Amino acid sequence: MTYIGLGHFLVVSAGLFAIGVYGLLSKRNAISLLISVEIMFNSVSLALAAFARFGYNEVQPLAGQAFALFIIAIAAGEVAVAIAILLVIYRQRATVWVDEIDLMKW
Amino acid sequence: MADFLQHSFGYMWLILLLPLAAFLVMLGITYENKRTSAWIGILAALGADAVSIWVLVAELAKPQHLQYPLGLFGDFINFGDFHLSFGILADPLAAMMVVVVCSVSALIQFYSLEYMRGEEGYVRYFAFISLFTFSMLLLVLSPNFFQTYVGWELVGVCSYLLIGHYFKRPSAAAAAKKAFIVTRLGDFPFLVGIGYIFFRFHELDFFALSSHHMYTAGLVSVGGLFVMSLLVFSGAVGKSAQFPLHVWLPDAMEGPTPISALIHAATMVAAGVYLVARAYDLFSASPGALAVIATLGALTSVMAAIWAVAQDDIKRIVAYSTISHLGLMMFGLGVGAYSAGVFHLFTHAWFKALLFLGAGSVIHVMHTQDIWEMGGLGRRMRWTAGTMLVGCLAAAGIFPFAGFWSKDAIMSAVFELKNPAFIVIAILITFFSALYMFRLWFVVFTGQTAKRRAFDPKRVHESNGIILLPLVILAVLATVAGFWGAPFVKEGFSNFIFFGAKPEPETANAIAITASLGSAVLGVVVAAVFYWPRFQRLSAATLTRRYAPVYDWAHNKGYFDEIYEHMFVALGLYIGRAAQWFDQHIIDGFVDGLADGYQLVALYLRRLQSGRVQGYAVGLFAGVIVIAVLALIFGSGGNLAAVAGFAK
Repeated sequence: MTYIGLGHFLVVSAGLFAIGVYGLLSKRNAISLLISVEIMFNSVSLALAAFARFGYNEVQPLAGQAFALFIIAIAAGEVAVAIAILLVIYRQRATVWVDEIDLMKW
Repeated sequence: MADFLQHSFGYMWLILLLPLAAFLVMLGITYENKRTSAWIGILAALGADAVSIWVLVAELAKPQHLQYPLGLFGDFINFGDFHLSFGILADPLAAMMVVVVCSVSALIQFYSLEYMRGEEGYVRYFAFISLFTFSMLLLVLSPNFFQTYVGWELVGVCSYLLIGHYFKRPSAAAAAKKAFIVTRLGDFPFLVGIGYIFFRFHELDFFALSSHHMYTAGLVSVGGLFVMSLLVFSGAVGKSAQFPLHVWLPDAMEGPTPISALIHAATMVAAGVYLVARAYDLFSASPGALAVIATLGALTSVMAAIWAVAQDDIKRIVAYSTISHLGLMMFGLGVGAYSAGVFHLFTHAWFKALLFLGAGSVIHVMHTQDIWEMGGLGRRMRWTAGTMLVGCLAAAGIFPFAGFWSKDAIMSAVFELKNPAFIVIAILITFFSALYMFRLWFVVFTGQTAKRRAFDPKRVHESNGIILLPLVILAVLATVAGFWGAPFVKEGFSNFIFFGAKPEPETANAIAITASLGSAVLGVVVAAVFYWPRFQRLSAATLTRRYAPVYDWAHNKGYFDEIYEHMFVALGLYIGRAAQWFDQHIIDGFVDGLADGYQLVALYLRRLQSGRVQGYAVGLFAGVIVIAVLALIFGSGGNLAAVAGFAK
């Protein structure tokens, strides 16, 4: 009998994370990068929630879910700030391609 | 009556407080008002003098050794079972010295009212005199070596400040620096010596050290005691201008003349002698050290006396005379004549202050210090000439002036030793001191006016009363002070200030008196034959030409300045240059090289910061992968097969 266990969740999480990494490294559009980062966040949230659900923390059983909730809240804030920065950059330089945004080098 | 005298000890803190308060008030409040400041200084010194005379009378009535902590701040140093507190000490020696310091300070400040009139830095001058008085009293009243050292350095600073009073004149600035540095050479071994005493005995208190007989208790070997004594004595050598550190005192004459009288004649330079007297338990425990003290003192004394004969500057003659007399005090202490040495310190303070102030009176009128530009002043400056004559008689040791009694006491002690070299030296010292004193007096006060310089003799006039009053007071003291220690006085000086057991009543040593008086009179006669026009039979000029090398040697003070210049100052310069080279090339090279290397590395490393986000991200994930792989390898305990899932 097959049932859905921790391994399934982790495989999905790892897949999502890999997709996020790929997107982060290969895309040039800053918006795409943000989306990739969000995917990675969600993969981690999923993994944490799964760990919590399957009882891997006996001392604080709800820590995983709590972390997931925190990540969702922080991600929302981070996206708001990031998009605001991107908007400003776009107004200044008329581009959101990250390889053209290298102002903060030496 | 006895109660009244006993109360004096309760007021001894005033002796310290008054001059210090005067200094602070002058610098803080009345610095714009010259007269007020000067009078504050004089009154403070007089107040301190009154208290100290009260204390001296109390000590005279009943000699006792008392110590009071200055409890305002508690212990000064407090660690383990060791407590060091500042305090006030009252014993016959300190009481005598305090009276000398306060009296001379008061007289000299009064004299300076007129002498420094119209000079730049009038208030600064008086303020520093008050600070000096305080420091000197701190030294004198100190119950332990540490406080002595504090006062010791403070008087050194005041001496520096006052020698350099005319600091805009390069020679004065150089003289101040020289005085400070040369005395420093003695002060450092002194500090080391204090450290040595502390680490051996865990005690710095004079009274505790002597009353428990610590020096002789066998805690330190004979050699250790010898080294300890010499280290402490080094401080005295520097401060009291003994050979080989005597070179600073003649140069210190760059300061105003009253300063020379106060600091470089009566008080500060006597601090070295005072220290030897104060720590005499230490020195008496080491006969070798006493021999060194006696030898150095005798050598200094006779050399300075000879040099003084060949000087042209009125203040320098008196300065060499000071060195000579300080050497004589050391000589006396070294041969074991404790009371005699200290007594000479006491009498010397009066007549040497008198001589300096008299010289100051002449300089004030003549505006020159060269004795050959003076002459015949006796007719126009009767009071100055008369008081100077008293000073010269006292310094030469002519009966019955003060110097005679103290010099005679030292002579008696030297004659009792039956050491022919010491006896010859002692006679030479007496002879030459009479010679240079009366050479000075005859050249300046007798004969024709104005030998070299053209000026109107009628314009030469006596100094005014403010200058003459201290001269007269000091002349009286220089006449009568000696009787305190005269052999026929029942309870005299040697029964008041003595070392060890109360001495037997002194019997006059007829041979010693004859020798000392005879050589002194001979010195006066020789001076008269050469320099008193009325008696002149021989020309000093012919003699100096015939014995030019000897004269040049004496005139150039034995070439010690030149020798030191070429040996130590040049050596110092070489060391300084080497250190500079080391600093500029090695130290700076190392620091600069470090900075250059860092810059070079950074030039390449900075390319890592490309500003491209994805480049950073690649690095980040590469790092994560590396860490993950490492964690797998080490986390598996080296069993990679298990990681890969091939093994159970």
